[in-house]
Amino acid sequence: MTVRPSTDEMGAPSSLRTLPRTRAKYAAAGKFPNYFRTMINRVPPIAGVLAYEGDRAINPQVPER
Amino acid sequence: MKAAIALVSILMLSSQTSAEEARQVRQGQPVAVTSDLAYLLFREDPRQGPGDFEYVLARELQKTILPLDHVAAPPQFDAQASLIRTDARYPYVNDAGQKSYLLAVPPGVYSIVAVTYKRMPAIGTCLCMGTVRFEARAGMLNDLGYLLGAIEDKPSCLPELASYQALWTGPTQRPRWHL
Repeated sequence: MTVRPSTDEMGAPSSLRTLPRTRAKYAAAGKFPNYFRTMINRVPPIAGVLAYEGDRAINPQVPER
Repeated sequence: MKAAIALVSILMLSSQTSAEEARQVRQGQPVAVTSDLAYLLFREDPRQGPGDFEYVLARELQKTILPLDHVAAPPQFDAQASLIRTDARYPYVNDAGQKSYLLAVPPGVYSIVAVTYKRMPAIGTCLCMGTVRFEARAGMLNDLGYLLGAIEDKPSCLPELASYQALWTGPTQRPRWHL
């Protein structure tokens, strides 16, 4: 699975338009144990949000120190 | 058999929209902004199938997403108590197949940790080799955009998931980190 981050063009349901709204800012999250004991996979790279160096998930917007 | 056990694991660990005070808001139910709740809105692309996917979110122990490091930190969460699984049966809006879902959750940082596939109940995938996190802000409608699902052994019609499939169709027929 993956995410298609929110844009201005994506409208909200009419009943929610009065609520204060913010677009979620995504960031990368690294490897964690397979708590569910099921198939494993990873979210594909997302420009500006998630990239990979080998098997390491990285935040591409943060330079390496 | 292993797949069935895997599904049971996901279902037991992530009862639908559980995680303490979290709930999925159904069509027509009232929505009130309060300082102790964050609303999560996400949409599905109808091309991926009719409500086939359910997503498992984990509320992390950390309170803020910042600071970010170049190498992403793993999500830290209590796998027994901090999981929320969306319920594909109850979209908040279903406008001629264009579905939007609404969750009311405690504010905090969430990671998307797994996805399950309804039409093949024994299928579930842990996103434990890399995923995304976001901050759910209190008193706000937090717009997650689209959550897009795919099953691993079939090509997806969604361009964002082209490489998701490619991982499984290379010369080895499996991603190289497969255990």
